Amino acid sequence: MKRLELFANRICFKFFNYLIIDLFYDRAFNKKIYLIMRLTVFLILIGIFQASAAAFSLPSDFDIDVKDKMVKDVLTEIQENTDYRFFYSDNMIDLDQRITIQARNANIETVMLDLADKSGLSYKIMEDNLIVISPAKEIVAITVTGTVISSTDQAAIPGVNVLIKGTNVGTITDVNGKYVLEIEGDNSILVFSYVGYLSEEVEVGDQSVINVALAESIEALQEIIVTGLSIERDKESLGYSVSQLPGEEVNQVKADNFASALSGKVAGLQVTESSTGVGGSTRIILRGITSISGNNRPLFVIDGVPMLSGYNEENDADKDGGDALGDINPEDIESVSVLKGAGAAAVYGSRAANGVILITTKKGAMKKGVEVSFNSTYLRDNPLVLPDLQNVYGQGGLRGRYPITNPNNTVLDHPSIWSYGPKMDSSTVIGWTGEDMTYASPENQFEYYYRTGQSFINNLSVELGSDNSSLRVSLTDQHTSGISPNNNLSRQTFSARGFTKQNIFELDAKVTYIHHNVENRPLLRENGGNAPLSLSILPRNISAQSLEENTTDEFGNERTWLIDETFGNPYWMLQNQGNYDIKNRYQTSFSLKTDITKGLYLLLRSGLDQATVEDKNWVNKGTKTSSNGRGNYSHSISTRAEWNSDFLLSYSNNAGQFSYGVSLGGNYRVDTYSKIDQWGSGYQIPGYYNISNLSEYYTNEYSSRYEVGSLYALGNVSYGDALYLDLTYRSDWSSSLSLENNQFNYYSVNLSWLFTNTFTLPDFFSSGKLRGSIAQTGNDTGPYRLENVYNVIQSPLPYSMVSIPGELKTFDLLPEINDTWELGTDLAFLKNRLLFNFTYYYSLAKNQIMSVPIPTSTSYSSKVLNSGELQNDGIEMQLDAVIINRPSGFTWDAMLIYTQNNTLVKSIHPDLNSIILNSAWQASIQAIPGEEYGLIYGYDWKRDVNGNRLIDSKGWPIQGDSIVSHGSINPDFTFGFRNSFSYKGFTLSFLIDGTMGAKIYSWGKTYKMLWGTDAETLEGREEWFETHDDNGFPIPGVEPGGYIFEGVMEDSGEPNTIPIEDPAYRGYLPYKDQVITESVLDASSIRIREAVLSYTFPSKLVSKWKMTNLTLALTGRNLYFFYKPADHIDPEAGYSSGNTGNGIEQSTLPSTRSIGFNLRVSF
Amino acid sequence: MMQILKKQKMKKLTSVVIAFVFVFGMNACDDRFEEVNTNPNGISDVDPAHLFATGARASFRSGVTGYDYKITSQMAHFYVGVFVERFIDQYQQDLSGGSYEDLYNAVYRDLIRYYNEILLLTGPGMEKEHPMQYAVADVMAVLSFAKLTDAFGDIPYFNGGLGNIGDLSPVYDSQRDIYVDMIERLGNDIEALKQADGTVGLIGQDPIYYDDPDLWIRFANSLRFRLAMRMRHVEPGIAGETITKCLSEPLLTTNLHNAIQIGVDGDNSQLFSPWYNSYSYYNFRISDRVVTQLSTTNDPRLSIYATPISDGTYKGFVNGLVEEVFAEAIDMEHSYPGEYLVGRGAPTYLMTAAEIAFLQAECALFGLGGSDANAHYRNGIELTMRRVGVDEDSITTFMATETATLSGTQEEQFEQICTQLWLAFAPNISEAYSMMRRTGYPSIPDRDGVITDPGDTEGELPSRLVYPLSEKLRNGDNVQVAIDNLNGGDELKTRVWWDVRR
Repeated sequence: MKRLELFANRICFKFFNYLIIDLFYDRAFNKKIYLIMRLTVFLILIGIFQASAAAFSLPSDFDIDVKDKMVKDVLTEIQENTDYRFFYSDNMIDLDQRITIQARNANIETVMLDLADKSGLSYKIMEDNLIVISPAKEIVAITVTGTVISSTDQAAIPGVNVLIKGTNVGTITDVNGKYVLEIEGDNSILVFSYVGYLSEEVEVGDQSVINVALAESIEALQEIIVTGLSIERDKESLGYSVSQLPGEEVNQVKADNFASALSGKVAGLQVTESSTGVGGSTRIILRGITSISGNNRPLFVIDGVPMLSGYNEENDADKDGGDALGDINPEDIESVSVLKGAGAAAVYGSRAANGVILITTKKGAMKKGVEVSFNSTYLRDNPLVLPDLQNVYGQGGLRGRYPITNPNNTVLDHPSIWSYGPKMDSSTVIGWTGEDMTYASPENQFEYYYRTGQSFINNLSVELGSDNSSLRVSLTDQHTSGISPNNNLSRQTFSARGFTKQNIFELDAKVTYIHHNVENRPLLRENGGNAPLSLSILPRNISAQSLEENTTDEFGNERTWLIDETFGNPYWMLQNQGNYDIKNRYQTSFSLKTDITKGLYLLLRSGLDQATVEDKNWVNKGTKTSSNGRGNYSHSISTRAEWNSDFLLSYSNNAGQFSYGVSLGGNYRVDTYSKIDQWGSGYQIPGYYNISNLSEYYTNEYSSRYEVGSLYALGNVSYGDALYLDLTYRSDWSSSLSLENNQFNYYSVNLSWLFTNTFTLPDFFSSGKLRGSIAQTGNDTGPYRLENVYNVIQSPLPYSMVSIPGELKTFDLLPEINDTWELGTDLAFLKNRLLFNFTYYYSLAKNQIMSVPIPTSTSYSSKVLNSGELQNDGIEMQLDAVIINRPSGFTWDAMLIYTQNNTLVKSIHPDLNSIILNSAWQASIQAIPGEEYGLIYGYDWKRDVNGNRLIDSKGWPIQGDSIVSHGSINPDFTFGFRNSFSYKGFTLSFLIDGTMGAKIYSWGKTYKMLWGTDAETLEGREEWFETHDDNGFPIPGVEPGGYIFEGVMEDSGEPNTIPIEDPAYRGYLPYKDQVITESVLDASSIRIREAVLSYTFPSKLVSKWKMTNLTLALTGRNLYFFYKPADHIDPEAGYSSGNTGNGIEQSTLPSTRSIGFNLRVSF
Repeated sequence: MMQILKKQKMKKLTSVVIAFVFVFGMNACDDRFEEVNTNPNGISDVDPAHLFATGARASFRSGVTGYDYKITSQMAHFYVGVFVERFIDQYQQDLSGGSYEDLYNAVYRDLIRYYNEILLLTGPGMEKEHPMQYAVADVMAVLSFAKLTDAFGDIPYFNGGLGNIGDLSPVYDSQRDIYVDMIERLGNDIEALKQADGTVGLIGQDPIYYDDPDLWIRFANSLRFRLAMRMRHVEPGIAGETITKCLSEPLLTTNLHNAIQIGVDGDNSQLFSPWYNSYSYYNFRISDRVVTQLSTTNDPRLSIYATPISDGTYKGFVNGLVEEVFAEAIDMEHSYPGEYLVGRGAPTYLMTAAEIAFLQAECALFGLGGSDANAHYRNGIELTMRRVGVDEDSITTFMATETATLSGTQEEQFEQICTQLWLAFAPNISEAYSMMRRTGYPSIPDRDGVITDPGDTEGELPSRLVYPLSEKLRNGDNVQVAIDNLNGGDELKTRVWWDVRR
């Protein structure tokens, strides 16, 4: 509008002059007018061009000699002799006064100064040789220019609104963040505002150049959120809780698995990394466990297409085969939307019970040009926590004696392979190799065994754009070596996405190809190949180096220091046991959107996600722990595919204060799986890992298919931008259920009230919302769970043998139903500088489908049944604050999230007392009606009413009468606390996250106590040795010393003073009595999860280098524990990402601290 | 014009949408869904003979490995475990790893699941009615249940193993009722087998007697004989009648009648002896009891049952040592069980002619039928020695020793019979353990607590196994009734119904 006014003025006073200026200067002018004008004026111009052609070539220094001429004539003369042009309003200025100006080779500044001095006018020289003349004493229309940049990365921000406060006069910044604004009147205040940034106000005063750095605002209520079915909505209109994270949150500090990068960032989301080697899986649970024994992972949807994200899709019992989430390339992520509540997810029906995580990938911008970005990361990983071992006593079983006396009998059995022997005194003894060895503690075997892990991750992306199309191609290459010596990963991701808008059609097509190759995933649990387990019990006087130097015996077989075949020589394993898996994954999707009429569109979409995995495992002949030394082998190829096709017809409109929308959609899903497997044992030629080399071999094939059809309807209505109502309804038809039971309906009702749009509240209250939601979602079941079949046994025998599976099926299964409701509020204060949101939710999952263990006396092991109820309730809170935001560019943002969830087993099948969810040794994690989900059960010691341990006459504690709960594997609460400081391109941010109140059963600890390697076993040993002779018998006349179990005597109630008669009983008694108490550890921790120090080079500087962005960052993950009561382990060091995999530790790999560099360049 | 075009476009789109919905037209999907959900990874129809082959193989293999190999081998003082299985040897009630559960799992899941399925399919009036298949499966079911009830006492028998027809919490039956029923069932099976035509019996799917009804009759009758002998002290009436019947019908009389499976010393673990497959290196030593018995009687089986140590002699390990004594013993060399017992080619038996010969000797000795106890006794020894591969010269030499002839009082002669039967049962030692409990021979002295560990039985040889924890968790009410009926609770030292003679 301002421009039009100016235009009118110009027409009046300097018509021809203006036209010349406009053609060369004002390209931003309204296109239509510009076109018409250009045509009509063009002919007129020709003459003038010719006339003034000479003037354009004049140098900027010029001669002037005017005497007593009117100002307007003087100006005309200057204009004719130079390429400067004047701009003035002659009804405001006295142009008729006469002045005299004489100068030779003067520059324009000098001349104008002189003129101003003599005429009393003021002037201003603008860009493009425009000089504005105004009356000196009056209010001047000044022109302000400047550049708006982001304070976080110093990059220019295009499209920023620049408004004169109190008016509707303003402009927006151009592509380079620049603006020009004419301002009439002094004391104006400019308001700079842009979505996602905090508004900035600047008093103009006498400044003509105002550069502004805007600070990024934290999540604002007006945010656009990607919701179910990838529909974008205003956050304020939602009646349920959704968290959206920008892509940088997951790609700045690289985690091995994309999902791990969500840890501590979303209230309600519990993420646990498994320390199972590179390419391992991550446990991810949203708002608690909803299925007692089924899948509890949220559904992942990428650009509207669901992804196969089953847990450990290629897992076998002994290693973590990774999960689909590891295939998601964080570099391609634009944003992640976490649909926590059922209200948000209900539109996904039978797959939504665990919540939904929507990933929107990047697509190129629709603007002309090419942008190339390069991102390079280098990381180094080192073990974060190593077991705390004793370094005083060496090998020996009972009576504190070193066991080996005979060079022909050095490989021994329990208890002689424990570390309950005499003090290591550097004497010479016969070692396990039969040779003399110094009886002393070698260097830490773990430090000797592990290496520094390294990662190189490089990403190149190219974006091409035009006015209505875009193409983005991205290539990522990752090479990671784990801390386990031969564990490597190589992953390549290629992704291309094209988008075009033609007429009423929008076409969006995408293809992603992921290739990975993981070598030697570490073996977990009680397995001969589990190196950390073997090393944790290695007698303290035996060095890892001696194992490395003696891997093979005279017959070419594995050589170990002990008879027990549970444990291998880790160095033999490195050479003779291995595995690899190669995954090729294709994700393609295609969508077509048509705007039929105003407000009505149709979307058709189809997407395929297919992964083929080749998995090979081998253990060489001669390996003691495998198939009686015959070795074994397996090799499989499996392909899993999910194909979804859907449509959505959507209409929206307004009527007065009301606006409404209705959508109708449908989806058809086909899941297929096939696997060909071959395995065997008995190598003919050692070390040649091929099925043809096996004397005993088997094959199997398996395939399955599963289809689900769905129809859904969505409706929303809002009133006066204050009340919003959303309704969804969905029906699913599943092939996995019987025809009578295969249709199910799900719904949600969501209400949001933006009360700040209804009432006027004090100024500090920026906005406020109350929301509520009621919904029903589900969880269906896999194929073939209705009817029993017989299997044929592959056998070399002359019989045809058929087997009967141990799991009984149930014909009339129903899907699991999850009824939920939630209430919450989102509040913003102090111009959105302080945001708070809170949600309380409740869910009741019914009809749990599970394979219920049934009594052995039925001849079957389990039956698939609907039974049981699981209840979850909890609160989620998030507080975001911009604590400091100085115009100088210094900002301090903070975010605090808090999550609390309780899962209660309301009931299980009436025939059962409990369901064992997981177990290790004598500890089991069970679901018991009326109790919390995931309690660790096992024997405790027998105790008196005051909880004192009862001790018998030998000084031994006594096994309790029955198994009891030792606490829950689920935390009482979790929190994340992020701080981010930025100043002139520097940003320091760190995330502290905490998990409080959970328990973990450490099988590794039981082992280390039994074997006497644990530092805790030192207690009382010194006293024992002082009071016993060399043969381990009490020295006569000396009161025997030793470890005294704390407790009271069973008979007298007096405190126990009797030491155990042998140091080894310290670990042996709990083992013998199956008491797990000492090995149930507090899994709480508070750690620095992530830290980043980054520097973004100023845009001025990088533009000189022809770049648009250059950022360097130093990143760290898992840096430091502020609090960790459990020794030996990182409580996240579970062995699997299953439902209860976080509750048991089995001497797997330690978690790692990862530190690295990151470089981002864009051109 | 534009409006009309738009309307037409709308109509088209609407019909596309409707068509789309129709494709989803869910009723049309029903047939398709049923087809989609048909499991391609198994068969829904089966010849019961194929199930029999699976069950019979398991009767020799998984049905015996946990119980015979790990538990009764130590209870019968044949082996000594030196690793986790040592807890069993220490008479401990709560076992790590729940080994007492092995037999329960094996019998119900690997054996009864198959035999009951065959009985359901081939019974009178059933879909695949087949008297011989039915009878043979029934004999095997009785053999399996007998082993289980001998170990635990009361078990789910009449309703046990019927999860597939919906009994998810089977009630427990008294051991007496089970025994009486088993004897009756075997009688019926013998009658049915007499009518059977072997050529259409198990169609080549019989790994035990190769479709021969006559051998099946001998086996069923011998099994009935074993059961009758086991209950003779507590139910002499029924036992006596049954023994008379048994002695009048064909029995296992030569080693060719043995129900045997021989391991193949090849390279295929499916063909190996189950003992070898479950043989964890170095986890067992041969018991000092066995070495002492064989060496003091110059028995040629010593070198077959045990391996020599490096000086060429044999040294057994003492069962049940307390920790301190054990710790010293374990660092020294001891004999392992011999190749015949635990090697790849080791045999497994369901029943042997030798056992029947010794039982006949017992019958003769106690006047229950037949005569010439000594002849049966000597026959039992010879059958055993030939079976385990003793050369004829050694047999002749041994048969001339006083050990090979019954002498002394009736009780002394009975002890001689039982001792030889004890040796004859190897490697299927669970029957030796049952015999020891029934007869008291070979007698195992109570453990003293100084050298040997009294465990949870006050030193007494355990008399039964405790019920599995899983059964208590999943079938608690019923198992509680069974425990209440036990005379002494669910303890290792509580005796089963027929265990009254000791």
